[in-house]
Amino acid sequence: MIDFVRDPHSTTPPPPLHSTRIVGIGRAGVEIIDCLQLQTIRNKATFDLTALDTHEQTIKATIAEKKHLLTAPDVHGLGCNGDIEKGLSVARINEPFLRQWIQESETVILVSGLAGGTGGGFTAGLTTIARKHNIKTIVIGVLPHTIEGKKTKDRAEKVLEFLREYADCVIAIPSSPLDINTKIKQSLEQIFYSLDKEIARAVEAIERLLRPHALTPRDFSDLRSLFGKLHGTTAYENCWVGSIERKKDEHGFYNEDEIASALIERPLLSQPNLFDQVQQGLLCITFGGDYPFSQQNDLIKQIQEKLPPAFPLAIQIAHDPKLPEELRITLFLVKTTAPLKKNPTKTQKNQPDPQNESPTKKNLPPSDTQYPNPKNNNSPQPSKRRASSINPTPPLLKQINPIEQETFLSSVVTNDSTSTTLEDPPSPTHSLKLEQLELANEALIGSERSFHTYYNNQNLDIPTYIRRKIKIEFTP
Amino acid sequence: MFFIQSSRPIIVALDVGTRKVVAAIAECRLEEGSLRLLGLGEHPMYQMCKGQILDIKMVTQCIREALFEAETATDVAIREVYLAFSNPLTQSLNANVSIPILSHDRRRQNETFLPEILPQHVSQLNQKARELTPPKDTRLLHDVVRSYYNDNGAAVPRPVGLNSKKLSGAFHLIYANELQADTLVRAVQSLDVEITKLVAGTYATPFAVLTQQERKEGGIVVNLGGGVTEVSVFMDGGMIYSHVLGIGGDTLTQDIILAFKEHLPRFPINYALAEEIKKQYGAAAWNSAEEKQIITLRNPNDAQHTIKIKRLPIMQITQARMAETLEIILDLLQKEHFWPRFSGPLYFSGGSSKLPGISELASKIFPERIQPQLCRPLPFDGDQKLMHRPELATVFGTLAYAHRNEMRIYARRPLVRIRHSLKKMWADMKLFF
Repeated sequence: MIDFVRDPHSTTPPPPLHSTRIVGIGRAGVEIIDCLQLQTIRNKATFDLTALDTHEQTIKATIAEKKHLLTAPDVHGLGCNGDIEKGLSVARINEPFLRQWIQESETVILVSGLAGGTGGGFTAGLTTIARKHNIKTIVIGVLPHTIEGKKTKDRAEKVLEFLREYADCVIAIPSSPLDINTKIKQSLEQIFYSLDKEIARAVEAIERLLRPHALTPRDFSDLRSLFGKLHGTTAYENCWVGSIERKKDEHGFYNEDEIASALIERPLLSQPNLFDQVQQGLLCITFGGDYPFSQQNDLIKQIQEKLPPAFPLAIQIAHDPKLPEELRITLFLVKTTAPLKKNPTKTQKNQPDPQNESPTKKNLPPSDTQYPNPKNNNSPQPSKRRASSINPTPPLLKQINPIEQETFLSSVVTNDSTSTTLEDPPSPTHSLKLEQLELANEALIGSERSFHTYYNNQNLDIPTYIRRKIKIEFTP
Repeated sequence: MFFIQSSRPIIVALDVGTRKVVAAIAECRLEEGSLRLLGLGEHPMYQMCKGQILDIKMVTQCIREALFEAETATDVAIREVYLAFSNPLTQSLNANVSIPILSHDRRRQNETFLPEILPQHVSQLNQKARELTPPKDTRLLHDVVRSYYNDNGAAVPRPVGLNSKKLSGAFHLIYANELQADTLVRAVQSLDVEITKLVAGTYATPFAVLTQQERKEGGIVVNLGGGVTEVSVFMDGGMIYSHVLGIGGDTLTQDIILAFKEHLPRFPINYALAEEIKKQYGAAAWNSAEEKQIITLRNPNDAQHTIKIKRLPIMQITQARMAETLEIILDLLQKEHFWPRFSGPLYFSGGSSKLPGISELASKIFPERIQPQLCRPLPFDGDQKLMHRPELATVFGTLAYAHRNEMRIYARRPLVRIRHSLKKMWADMKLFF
């Protein structure tokens, strides 16, 4: 009689430890999470997505797999109304829940609008909690549009000041260039929707970047290296993002030249004099189906040709078996607003005051969130819990500008000189780990689905019209 | 709640659903055996997903609000409740249990011995059914006796006094997930309210929907709730099947939200608007005029901004989901041994049963021997407007179940009966003088 009830408490094994959890905070963050969830529903990707907000309507309307309404005595499910202090207090009140919840993951990617009360204040609070428990935190924050006023901008700056201290990596994406560069006249809502889509792609690219078993694997230290904190700086980064997806033509090939041009012409990347401001880039390529190395190489060459000469670019290539015959490319361009320095002793300066830390932190094993210089033998060893996820790949900056046609597969790996920074000239010869050239296995990434209902192996939480392929058309 | 000491015996039913919590208070007229609804309190429920509690503090707060509203409306202090709940982790099974009637059970001097069924045999049989190994992490909530059988296999409604070598019983056992039930019980008890009995929604709802005759002869109740859909089948003198599906009206709303986010991404849809769209424009069956209808929606953030869209896709979304739900129910029933010989009415209750055309859709999916229809007004005294709300079927069913339970207790306790009669006599005398 009972044949399909799922019991998360008794019949299923305990949920696996998630390597990366993507959390949308506040309305802006939740909208981005929704964009990612649509891909999950359409079976185009697998993410561990969570939506958090103080506004009841936002939480009810989100399609995120996991959602939680943040409550506090003075919030009443109506949001924080741009009050950062209120957002911080919500984090403080919900700390027991957040502490338990956050410890299930190793890395959290927090996506939020930095000017909002929840997006700013709560993100800052959650970052502090994550820091206390040695969880790596990447904050992808949307900076307010210029028309939102100076107060809003100041609020976002204030949050950024805080995040610089406590987050492991901050990626701030400005929203203003979007309307300047688009030729079509758009409403503000349309601009923000376009921005949400771009940022969702950026989040997707970063999440893939942190996954193991890519063709050119990166790890967390690579990302931090790109965004400036690995070598002891507290650099606050500004980031421009562009992403595209393409399908094969009728002959079964991708048009590399067209792809490269389309990528560079993305709204956020087509800002005038952008390349005078940015200092480095990260190119994330994900493909489904077959895509030979030679063609990958051609594509990278085409993109590099569109960039200024000798522009430092790190590349991540991953194969996604869930993706149909499709190519997804995301390009990050980064501006470092604080100078990068070689001195590893600066690392200590960035650590929070040990007196202010919770007593639990003192008992925790030392971990790599303390940003040790890889050359320093006295640096603390990574904890066992993270040992499996830490990739021994050298930091990203060592692999700047890595692709040259002839040496792509024949170059020799050098792991020893990991202290190279941006101040060093990019190496003309580049390195690639041949032994790690394996296909990404999406199945290794587990996801918690405790509240889903299944019948005949079908997830009933996915709308029936999608599963039964009923075509719907809203416009008259 | 049952105040034996009070001059007004009161029953309180509390239905904790995924989308709302309802407390109904009724006066139990013991001598007449009738029930009069005094009033109810409702509150939206937050932080519950498919009948499972996500945040106990929030759920407790919502229950408190509903109880407070009910107390205010009726001037009754709530101390005990019959608590109805349902979630997909509730399980049920049918079991046939039998015991031998031995010769040494009854010996009479100088009389020819014949084995005879005594009241203790019936208790022994019921106890044996209760002691069956429950599914993992569950505890028994209801042991419903469908029928007793003698050694010839004949159904005997009252077995006591019959001569038989064996007594058998067909039971339907409903088990609740221990963790979920305990969490809910703690939430209610934290409000200083005692729980008289925990009632499964699948068992309670038919008390408000099916007549006593239908409960014996055969009838299906499909309660389309906010978070879950409950299916209960009555046949052969009692309950024969119950099941809880983890999809409900909320799933319909989420489907609409998702469709809007995918196809009209620039129109900011929120939950309240999606719920409104579902109620106003959703349908399980439609005619050609409705198919061509164009509807205008107002942007919830900007009153000046409106969009015009077709109604058809909304109806397609709701119909697809509802058809799938009914197909799953049919598929589940077809796997049961009783299904080929079942015929009778199928009643829809719950908030989502208000979706237009649901009966028409069901009549296309189910075989002809099943007659799908919406549930009828319930036989209570009191505010008749409330009786026509199908979403209150579970709470009214719990009241009816509680009433039946209290009447049984009342019948078994003669002292209580005498005290009530004396009180009534005293009250009449006071009026006379």
